[in-house]
Amino acid sequence: MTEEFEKEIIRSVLGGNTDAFEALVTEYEAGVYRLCLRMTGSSEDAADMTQECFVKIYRSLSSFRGDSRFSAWVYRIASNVCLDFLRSKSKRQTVSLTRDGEDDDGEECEIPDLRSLPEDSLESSLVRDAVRRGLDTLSPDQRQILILRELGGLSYEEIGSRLGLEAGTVKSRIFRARKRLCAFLTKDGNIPDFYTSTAQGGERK
Amino acid sequence: MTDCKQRKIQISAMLDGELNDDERLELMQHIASCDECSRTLAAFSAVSDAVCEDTALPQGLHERITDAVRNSAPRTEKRRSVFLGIAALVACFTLVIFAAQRFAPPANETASGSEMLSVSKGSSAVIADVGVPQDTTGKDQLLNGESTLDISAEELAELLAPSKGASYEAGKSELPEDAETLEFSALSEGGDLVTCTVKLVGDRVYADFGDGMYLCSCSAIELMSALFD
Repeated sequence: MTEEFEKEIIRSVLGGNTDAFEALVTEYEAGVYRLCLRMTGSSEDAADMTQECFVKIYRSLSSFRGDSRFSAWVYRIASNVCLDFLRSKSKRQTVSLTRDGEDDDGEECEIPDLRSLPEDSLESSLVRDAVRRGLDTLSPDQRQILILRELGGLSYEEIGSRLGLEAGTVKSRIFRARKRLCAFLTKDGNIPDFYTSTAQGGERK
Repeated sequence: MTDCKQRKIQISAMLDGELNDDERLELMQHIASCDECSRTLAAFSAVSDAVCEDTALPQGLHERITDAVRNSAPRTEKRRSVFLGIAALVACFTLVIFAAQRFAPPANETASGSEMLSVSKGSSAVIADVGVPQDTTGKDQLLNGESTLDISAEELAELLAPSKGASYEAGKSELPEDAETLEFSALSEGGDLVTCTVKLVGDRVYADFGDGMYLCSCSAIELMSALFD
């Protein structure tokens, strides 16, 4: 969907044509669902959140000023809906490997050696499953910021302006989230020993 | 190692497209000769791939979403009141009326500057060309070379008030395929466009402001007199 056509659809919806909104649903439902799935970790919760997102998008469409990309606006709403859900739902969180904050830069976590991992292998799918479980170990805020970047495609500046953060802060938080996921892979992800190595870059077994 | 710690943050930023060409080149040259950074690049890439992997939409979710949105849409009375609200801002402005079966141009021939905004709701409802003004200042700038009529939005909204006991969707089963269809657009000075579809069946008038056809209180004769006399 071109940006121009998207604007026409929005104008039409704001003019009272509810049916036109379906075009926006079709365009964004897969991406929003994927974002919700990564945020909530549950396909049922993700489906509920996706529905809630689109109702919210529909109701607040008139507040979209056009000063940012519409896709960025959509994914920001989606991530906030999921964040509210995660915060209000009583959920047992795995304690993160380090305290969630600004002071874990000093701790070096083991990075798994995945350089020779065949793409379509069983091991590769184990890594993917482990990463998704690892997302659960991130704090909701950390998960939101990583997913806005990975799935929403927002730039550091866009994320920063939406969350009230400097771009440099966004950069370091995304880095820490990735590092934490890598650490999860080596400690809890059941990644085959063959693909892990010591922190000193030891040999593969 | 301290140098590599900073490099790892740069690797993360590089995957996000946040480095310029020089920075990226310099970093890649380092990675080519650094085992630890090379491993970090591979691991961070695998993490990204895992997070971004395509997931099929659950069956039925699309319908669930569209139903939920439709149920949250404002009532038609509210939509009608937009016409009244617009009229409150602009004392009287011009509406363009298209009688789809009389004036509808061929699909690929629209006046310059106009765009198709309405979507056909049924096989007999021809898409009427809804003129978009060349600029947004004009209450009387609706183009297309079609007939223009002077009638206030308020008068039209009053005419199209629901008949007593009318229900939305009720009209659907009563409408023949070849019912004459009219498309109205009201444009405010702010550029807000509100559309309404009207169908004429004998002397009965049905209107749809976006969430269902309903029987209007006016007759077709009354409507036509108001529009053309």
